Amino acid sequence: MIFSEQPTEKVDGYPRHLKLNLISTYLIKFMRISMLAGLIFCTSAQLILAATVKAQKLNEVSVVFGLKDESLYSALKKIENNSPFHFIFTKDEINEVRSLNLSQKKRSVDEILSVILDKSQFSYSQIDKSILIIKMKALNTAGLGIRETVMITGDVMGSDNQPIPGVTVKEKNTNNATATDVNGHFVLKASDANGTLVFSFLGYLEKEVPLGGKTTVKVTMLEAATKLNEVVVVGYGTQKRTNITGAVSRITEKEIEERPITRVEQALQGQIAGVSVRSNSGTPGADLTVNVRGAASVSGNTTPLYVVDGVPLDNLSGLNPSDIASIDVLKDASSSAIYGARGSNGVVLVTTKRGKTGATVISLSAYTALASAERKVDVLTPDEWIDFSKKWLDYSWTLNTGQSGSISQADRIAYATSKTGKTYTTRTDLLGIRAAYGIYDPYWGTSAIEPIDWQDVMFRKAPVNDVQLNASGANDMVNYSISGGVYNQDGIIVGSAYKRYSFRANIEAKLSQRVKIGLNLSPSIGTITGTSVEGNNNGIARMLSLPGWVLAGTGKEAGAQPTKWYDGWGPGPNVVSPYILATANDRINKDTRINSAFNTNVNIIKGLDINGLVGWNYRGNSQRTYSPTWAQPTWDAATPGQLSSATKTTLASNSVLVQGTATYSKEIGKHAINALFGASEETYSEETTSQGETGFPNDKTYIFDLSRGTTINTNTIYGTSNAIISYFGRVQYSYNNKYLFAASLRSDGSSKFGPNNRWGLFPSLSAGWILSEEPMFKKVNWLGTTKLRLSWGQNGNDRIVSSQFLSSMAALNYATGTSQTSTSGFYVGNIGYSKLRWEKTDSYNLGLDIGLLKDRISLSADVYYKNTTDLLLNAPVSLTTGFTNQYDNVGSVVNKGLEIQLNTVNVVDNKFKWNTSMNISFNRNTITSLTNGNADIKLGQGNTIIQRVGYPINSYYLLQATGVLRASDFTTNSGGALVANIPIFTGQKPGDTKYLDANNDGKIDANDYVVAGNFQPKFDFGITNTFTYRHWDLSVLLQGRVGGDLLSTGSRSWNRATNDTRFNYMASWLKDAYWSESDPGNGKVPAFFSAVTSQYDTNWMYSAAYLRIKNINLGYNLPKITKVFKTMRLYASCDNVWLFDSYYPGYSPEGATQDNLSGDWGSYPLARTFSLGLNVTF
Amino acid sequence: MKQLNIKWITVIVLMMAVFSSCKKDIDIAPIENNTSNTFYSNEIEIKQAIIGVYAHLARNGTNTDFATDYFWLASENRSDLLYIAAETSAQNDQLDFRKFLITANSGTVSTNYARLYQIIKDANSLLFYTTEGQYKRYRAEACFLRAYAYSELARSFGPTALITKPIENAEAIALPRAPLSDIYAQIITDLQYAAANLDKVYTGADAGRVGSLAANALLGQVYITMGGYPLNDATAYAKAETVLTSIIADVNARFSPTYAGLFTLANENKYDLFSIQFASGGLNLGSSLAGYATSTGSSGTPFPEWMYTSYTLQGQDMRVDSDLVKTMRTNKDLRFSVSIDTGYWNGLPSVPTRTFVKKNIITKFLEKDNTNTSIKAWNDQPRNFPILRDADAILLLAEALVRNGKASDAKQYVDKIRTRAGLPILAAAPTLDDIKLERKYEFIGEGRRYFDLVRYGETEAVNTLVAFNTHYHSKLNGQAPTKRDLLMPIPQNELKTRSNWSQNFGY
Repeated sequence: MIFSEQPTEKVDGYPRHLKLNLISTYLIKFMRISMLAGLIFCTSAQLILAATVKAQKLNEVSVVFGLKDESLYSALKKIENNSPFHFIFTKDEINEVRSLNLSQKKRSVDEILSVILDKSQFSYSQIDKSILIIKMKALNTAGLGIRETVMITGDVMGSDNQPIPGVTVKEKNTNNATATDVNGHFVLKASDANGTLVFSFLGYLEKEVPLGGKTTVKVTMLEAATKLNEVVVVGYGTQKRTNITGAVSRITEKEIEERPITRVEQALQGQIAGVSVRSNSGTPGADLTVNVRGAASVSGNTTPLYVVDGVPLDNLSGLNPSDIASIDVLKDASSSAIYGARGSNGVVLVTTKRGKTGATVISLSAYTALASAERKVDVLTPDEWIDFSKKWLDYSWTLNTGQSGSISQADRIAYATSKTGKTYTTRTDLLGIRAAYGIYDPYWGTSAIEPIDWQDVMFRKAPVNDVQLNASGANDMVNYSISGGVYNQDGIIVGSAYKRYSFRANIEAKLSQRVKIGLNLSPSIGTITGTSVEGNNNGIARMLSLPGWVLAGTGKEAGAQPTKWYDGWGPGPNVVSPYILATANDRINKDTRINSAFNTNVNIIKGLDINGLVGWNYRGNSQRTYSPTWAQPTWDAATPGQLSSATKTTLASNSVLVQGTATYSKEIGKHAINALFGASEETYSEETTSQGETGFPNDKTYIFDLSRGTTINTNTIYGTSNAIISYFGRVQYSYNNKYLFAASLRSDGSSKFGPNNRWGLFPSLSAGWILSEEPMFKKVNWLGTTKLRLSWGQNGNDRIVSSQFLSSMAALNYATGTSQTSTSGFYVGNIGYSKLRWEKTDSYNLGLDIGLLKDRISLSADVYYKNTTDLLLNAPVSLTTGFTNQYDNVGSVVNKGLEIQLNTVNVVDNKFKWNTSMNISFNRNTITSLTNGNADIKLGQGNTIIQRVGYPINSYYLLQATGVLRASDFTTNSGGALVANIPIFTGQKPGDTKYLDANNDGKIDANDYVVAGNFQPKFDFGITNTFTYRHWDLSVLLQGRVGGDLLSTGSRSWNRATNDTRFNYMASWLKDAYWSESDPGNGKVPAFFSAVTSQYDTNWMYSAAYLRIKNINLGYNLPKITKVFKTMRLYASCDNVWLFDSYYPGYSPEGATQDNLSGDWGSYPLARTFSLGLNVTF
Repeated sequence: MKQLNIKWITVIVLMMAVFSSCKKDIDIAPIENNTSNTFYSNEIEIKQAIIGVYAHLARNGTNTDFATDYFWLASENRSDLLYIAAETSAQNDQLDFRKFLITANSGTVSTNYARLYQIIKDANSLLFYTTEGQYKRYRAEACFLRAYAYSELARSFGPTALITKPIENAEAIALPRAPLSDIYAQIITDLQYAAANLDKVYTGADAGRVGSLAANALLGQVYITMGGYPLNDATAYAKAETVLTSIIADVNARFSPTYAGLFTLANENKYDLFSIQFASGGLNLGSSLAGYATSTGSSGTPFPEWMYTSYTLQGQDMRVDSDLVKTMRTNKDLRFSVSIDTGYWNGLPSVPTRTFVKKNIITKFLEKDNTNTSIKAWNDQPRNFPILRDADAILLLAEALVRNGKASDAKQYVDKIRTRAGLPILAAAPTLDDIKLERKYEFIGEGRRYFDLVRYGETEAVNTLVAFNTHYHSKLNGQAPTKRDLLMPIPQNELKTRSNWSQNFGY
């Protein structure tokens, strides 16, 4: 440490050029950090203790004092020996002052110092019990003793009205300077009563205040855009932002608290460069997809590793956002390599709130909100659907009879009779000749059917309520933070809801000066209700693909008992409305989680700490469904209860972490070293059960026992477990706080791999250079804190199911014997692949942090290159092996990119402040090799997802649609058959989709499928503008992406030529489709009666670019009313304010439900939420 | 410093000690501890393993069985016996088969191919993990099933990889498409081994498992197939005659006196030689075939008089060729009413408004019993599906004799079949056409027709199918069958894993 109680001994060693004001800055900075970090910097802890005891002021302490031709050094020594004060100075400098004389007399210290330092080059300043002696350099000697000096006193505060200690106060163009004390107070001898004072402090914007004759000033300093003084959480510890050599981004409670959010991940969206958060579903309680620097895995699991208070966690759903103090994202391998085995997709470290020293703080935050769907999808309206049906029937009529489409219904019936000799009187009769003679439904235009807008029926305005209460505080012995919250959300689709109760207690007790123990306990229960509305044949797919007509009187419950669906020309009768699907079927999914961590920290000797951690995460999930008979399409053919089915699945998992770490930190002169060594073992076990039965005695309840139901669908118990053992170590070294180095090494053994490939070694190296500390840059006025970072490291990934290196037998029974009884059979269930090994990522990072214009602008840019090899994938194998898939290390993928984070303070004023925070991320993901001689890997619906070398992971593999085939593309041969002049898919006719003959072989077939696109954007970005005016604040978050495609597999149901008009389709099938050569549409939408419709083409791939006004938040901070509350903020907020995009057949361009989250099949819409909220602390 | 070192060392040593003792903690075997290298250790497990091979022919953990996916969708469905009356947008694969539009991406193509190789894989594993001389019966059954799978691969996909041991992907993708002659050689070896090591038939608790009779009958069918397109191996018919003659007495002993008796639950495993075994009861052991064969489209109404529980229909509205219906009715062929219904009532007799829906549908495999509550779902039908039965052996022998110039010897066999069908015996020695016609009627709904047409030769097959297609399907958006339709394509799922195979002709 730099400072001790014996300043004379310690300060002596410092070179003359070290500015004293910098020393004081460092001192104070260390103090602030110490308050946060607490335990590492032991000596500074003593300063903290000193700070808590109120120091006497210089004019309150008197000593009997005299000097006789003595040096300043011995004068200060004398004062130190006779007073409680210590001096801080540079000995070489003060040695210049000699021959001081002063009569022996009782004087206050203040008086003595002002006399002996008068007319010298030194001034003084008190910080608690310490007195800084500051040399005023390059003093204009001409002015010495001539100018009148003025005593200026003042106070410096932050925008939160809290005093800032350690601010350097300097008179402009002079060397008169001092620093503020713990109360933010300062006294400065200025040479000019009309001069200007310059206030500076690391992390704050420099401020100039003209004195204008005043002798007291009150100054408010504003935080700089850079937060270089903050402490960030890194693997197994914390580190000052200035000393970080990797790529670490952080958001703090401020960003999380001020906006109403449900899930922790939402707080990250649009906020951090390189972290993409995708709301692939708006389902209440649904998970979000988080990717750090692109997908480094093809296995589908590309989520980062979540670590909450030191304990890895698989899912953040039980975590209450209000409990979070900060989220730190470790983006490059040098920061995440310490997490070795599982860090290759980045690491997200979540730190929950701790108590702050002082009185208990009770805070209450609550909001109420109203949510509604962001938009509707433009499907045919009920009337348009009839027009569309008529158009198709006219087409059929013309096709089959060669007569004009304008022939009336009566004439068509007459013509049919003339052809068949039968009469057609009833609707059933007519239905029989519907397609052949283009017969309209007699119901059309009558009151037999009624229109309905399924989207209106399914959507609702849904309330959301959230209340959180927290109490926290700390003293010398105990630090605590206890909170509880209730969150209650109705989904914007009927029948869906999410409710969460969450509690947290973080308690830390100091058993002795050396031993601390802590316990974090966080139980939560989250309940999702509502059946799945996403995916094939579920609510959303149906509300878009069912026509807006039901039989009169059946309404939104059409199809369920006692009604039937509109039949014949409509899709009925055995269809049930999406409303019934969503509301009549029960689904309750309860997630009970207990996350806990028990922590012991022992300080062995100065600088050496041993920490033991036992973490236990429990998850109990239970899901039950009940589907009653009356809601089944064939209710009429069944007795009550006969078709009812109930299922219940349960999962109980326990994950236990036992971890020991030792940390050692030491400073020797300019050398600072920090070392960490640790070992951990994590075990995971899971048991699942599943029961299901169909056929109940009645339709009353979901409860069943084996003796009363008729069919047992499932009745199983399963279990699995895995474990990982790790050893890790890290050394950080810094020289002169300017050159930074770090190295780490981790070894992991995972049970998921065979004995020969079990252990993986993950090293990292990094270095940083704080350029702005170099003398040559110090002279550059406009340059603030500037740092260059360089790192390399390796990470792993083992996230596949257990025991895949072994070949296991699977059960498959067969009926044998005369009695045809079930006989037990087994077959080889998977290929045992003993060579299965870790997926490994090598990553390089080069980063530059620049502060400009006194840190009003701060820019952080990182370029990175990540090479992941031995990709784990349940990859397709030759069917001749008897298997379709096998876990294998299949290839490698490169992610490279650029991230820029820019924070600017645009306007600073005492009343008005405008900050902008902007981030932009470019990531290029490319598969660089695949096994089997770089053979493609195809998966997903219709093999439309492809992994191909040279393209991003999960690219879309489709026929390239280039328009619509026209009659002019064909000629009629002598036999009267159509012959195409251009390449076509076999069987195609005018009106069919025109495809690109990618391989130029003159025909369109499976070989013309091309890699047509992928979800990867050109770049994505987020911009937050924050305005503060007096007590008001306003923030606007824009978030979006440019480029990228989305395959909407599901829209093939409502956006494809199926030749079946009984269902509903996008409005474009009426308006823009090809109907005939004289009605060719817009040239993009093919004929609804296309001949070839089973291919997958780019008609279902849409642009996924979008811009969202993600959030607008307006807040008002009430003036403090001490007796009632400390702070109170009221706010109004709107989420998903507006969406600009061109994805029309679904609700959100972020939507993804299947195929490695690359395809959308009717994903749940995002909600536009208006909320009113309140945050109060007492 | 010394003190410090000691503390550090103590800490490190302690941690090492604690954690190295836990290293075995990451040796975790699956909780369901049936790894394949430890299986096959005793007769109970080997029996379970052979049952597992048979079971691939049944539902195989999916909704549909092999009879549906292979004999119905990929064979009968595109033959000249059935036509589509109305299309629905579901079950596109079935449409694509019928309209001769299948591609390498068609799911059903891949399903059939994969399932046959699953049988081969598990038969290979059993043969690999047991030693020659032990567990002879199980090894013989494994050989039979492997040969059966290869025989279907050969006639549906042409040359494919010949694999006779457990194999990892890296090795599999290096294998070429073995010549058909090599594949047939393996089939013959396997079947001869099976015939030599099995009893003629098994009954009681073992009913449904193959015996030497089945092995020889299959060998006969294999020889007949080799004699036809595309191998046209002229020597094969003689071999077929030999092997089939050797079993004809035993087959005659299992001859069902009535045609209806063949398709009765009570007579299962009595007259047939090798059948896929099905049982209802909601245990995923039932058959899906009836659900497809009786279909009037996936949103059609069920048959209230025939079915107890809700019976949803699958697939397309396939109806029997009306010429064939006409002929069989005219001839008063007893096989007609057993195989085909001309319609059904859409309500129970208690419903006064019920009407009779006229459709010629195949109900051969439908258990028409509206009191049978053990049938839980559309794919829970109990009737077995015969892959080889009495008439197979008899008509194959008759065909072999005719082809070998011994038509007069064949007469008794054809007459035997005709007599059971209530038809007069032939006036003269049977011609090849007589036998072809007899097969068409005898096996309607059983998926034999398409493969018969193929082995009759390219011209006959294509012409027959084109004529049928023109008659029934001229307005469909399909295409005319061509030579390419004599084989299915190698599935794209197979080709995408390898680069050393070329696709079948025309795909």
